[in-house]
Amino acid sequence: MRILLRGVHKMYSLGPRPNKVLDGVDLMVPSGQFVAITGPSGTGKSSLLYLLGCLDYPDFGEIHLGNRDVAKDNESLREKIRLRHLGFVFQDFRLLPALSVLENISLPMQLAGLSGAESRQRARELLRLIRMERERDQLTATLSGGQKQKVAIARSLANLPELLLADEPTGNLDSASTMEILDVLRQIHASRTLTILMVTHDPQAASYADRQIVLERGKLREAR
Amino acid sequence: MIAGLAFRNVLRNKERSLLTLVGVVLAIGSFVALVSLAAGFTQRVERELGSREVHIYVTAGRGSTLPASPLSGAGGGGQVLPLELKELLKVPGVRSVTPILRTSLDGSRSVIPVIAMPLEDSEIVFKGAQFSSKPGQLNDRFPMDGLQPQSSPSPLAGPVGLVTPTPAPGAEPSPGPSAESGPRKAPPNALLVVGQGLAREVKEALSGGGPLVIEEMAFQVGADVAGDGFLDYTILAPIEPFLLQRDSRGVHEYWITLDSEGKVQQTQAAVQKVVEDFLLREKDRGDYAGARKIRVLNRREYLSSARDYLGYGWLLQVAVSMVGVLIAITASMNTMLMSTYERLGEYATLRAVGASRRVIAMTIIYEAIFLNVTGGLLGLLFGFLATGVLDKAVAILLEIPYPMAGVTPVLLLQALALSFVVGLVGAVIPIFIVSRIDLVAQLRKGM
Repeated sequence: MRILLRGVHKMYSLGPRPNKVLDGVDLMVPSGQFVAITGPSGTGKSSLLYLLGCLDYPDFGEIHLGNRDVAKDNESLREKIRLRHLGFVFQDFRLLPALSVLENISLPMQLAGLSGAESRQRARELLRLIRMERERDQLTATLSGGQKQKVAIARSLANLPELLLADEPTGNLDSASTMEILDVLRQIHASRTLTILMVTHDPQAASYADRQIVLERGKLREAR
Repeated sequence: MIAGLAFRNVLRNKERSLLTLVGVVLAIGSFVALVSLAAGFTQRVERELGSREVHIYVTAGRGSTLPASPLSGAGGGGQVLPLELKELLKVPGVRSVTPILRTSLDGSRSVIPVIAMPLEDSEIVFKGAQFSSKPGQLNDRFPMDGLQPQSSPSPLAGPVGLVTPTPAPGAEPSPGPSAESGPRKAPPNALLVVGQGLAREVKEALSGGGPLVIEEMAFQVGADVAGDGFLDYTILAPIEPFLLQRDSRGVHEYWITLDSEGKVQQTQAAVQKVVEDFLLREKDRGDYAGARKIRVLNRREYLSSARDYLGYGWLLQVAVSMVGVLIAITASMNTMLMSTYERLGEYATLRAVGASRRVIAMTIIYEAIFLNVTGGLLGLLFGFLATGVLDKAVAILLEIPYPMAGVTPVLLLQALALSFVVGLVGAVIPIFIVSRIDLVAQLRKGM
């Protein structure tokens, strides 16, 4: 999925002074590119990801996903875009503790209307991809951090998204798990026509991407 | 999956869910128990009125049309219909006109209703009833036609209070209280027909084998009857001694049976005309100060009038049980609110992975309904048991000899539907809160 941002502004007014996190951001990401967005903490990397993920609206500007300006879409349409075209991976995994590994992965497919049997079949394939078939019936609370993040990645791929948004996917992991997760992301990127945008402050993680962009003072610049 | 998630959410905080469940069980149980009293009573009224072969009722204006029961008010509210009407009501198409007086047993058993009527008519008006002896043969036929409001001396005036009753065949002769100190004696052969339920449940308590005392007159039991509604718990007495006792002031109702059910409307109009003419004549003469208004009702109108009386009782019981239901709604809403606040992060995640607001709302509704309908089902069981206890308690406290409560399938469905509604209402505020969450703020917070 091609991404195009034009003059995107976003300001938060949580404290006494409004915080302008995005100040006229322009960006073009061709379909199938693996992009890492880096920058110091609090510079708006996650905010940019939430805007791209249709979880938030910009104050100004256009956000094109494919040929559609999602900044103009209503919430119902954005729900559908999130479900069918986007995948999310969070730093704190965000798996549902009441559900098993298999059920967590099946959930987006069932939300999209797949039958229970069909979604479980596809979830098993994703479990093979992340090499976690044996843990499929475990509750997620019993998994390690690296395993949880792999399950979260599998869940994000459930509905065959065109854009994967990963917010500090290795931020809570040790170095061994970090390598494992980055390998999984690389493998997925290599095997599918998938655009990946990964927010990270870890240079090692950023080095796995095709392209690195730095967000500073509300503006984007190419790192290499 | 969503239903499964909701179900597991209920189980995630077992103690809290259990406490809510207890609240719902108590609320639904008390609803079932309380409303069953009204439902059971209504059911009995409808069954009895439906089983009577009575097509037209002539009743005093403000008198209750409830069948003989403690709630109908023994004595029919004090208004009476003149005895002369009996013959006048025999318009073409009328098979029989049965005068009715409502009264009750004397003393501590005054809640036991007595219908005083010509007993030979009881086989006609209670068409499905099973009598152990022919009621018409229990008493010497008494000529109603001879009784007039000012008639004196009455053919039976002398013997009242002096004649020893003749025991029913097979009945133990009882000496009975003396004429000086105890009740007077009813006329010879004046025997009663007692409902089988009454006979079975309170036989000993009723009389201890001795006479039954009604309006200070002693009677013996001559037969029993099994029938619908209250009949099983009613005493049928010959009307004549009461007319003499009351100096023939009149009766509470006339029950009219027609030759053919097809002419009810037409005959009702004819009876109405007779009644209006009678009242006009009485007014002109100025010698009748009885009922100001006489109602002529067909079966449907009579039942509807009875339902009006029942409606107040039903409303009262529903209102009392609704207090419990409101408490259950509050408990359910509180549980759902706490559960929702704890899971705002999860709901934000669900939204992020593509769940619509409708799906989130459904998750909350399923959770609330699982909790409340489970409570509702257990509440039905509790209500069923509580109904038995309440029935006994009411019977003891009010000295009502028959089971009042009736747990009907409709009542059970209503109670279950109520638990469903409690769940739905309990989910409203949590849904509103979740629909307004700031997704980004929740996702930044972590789970």
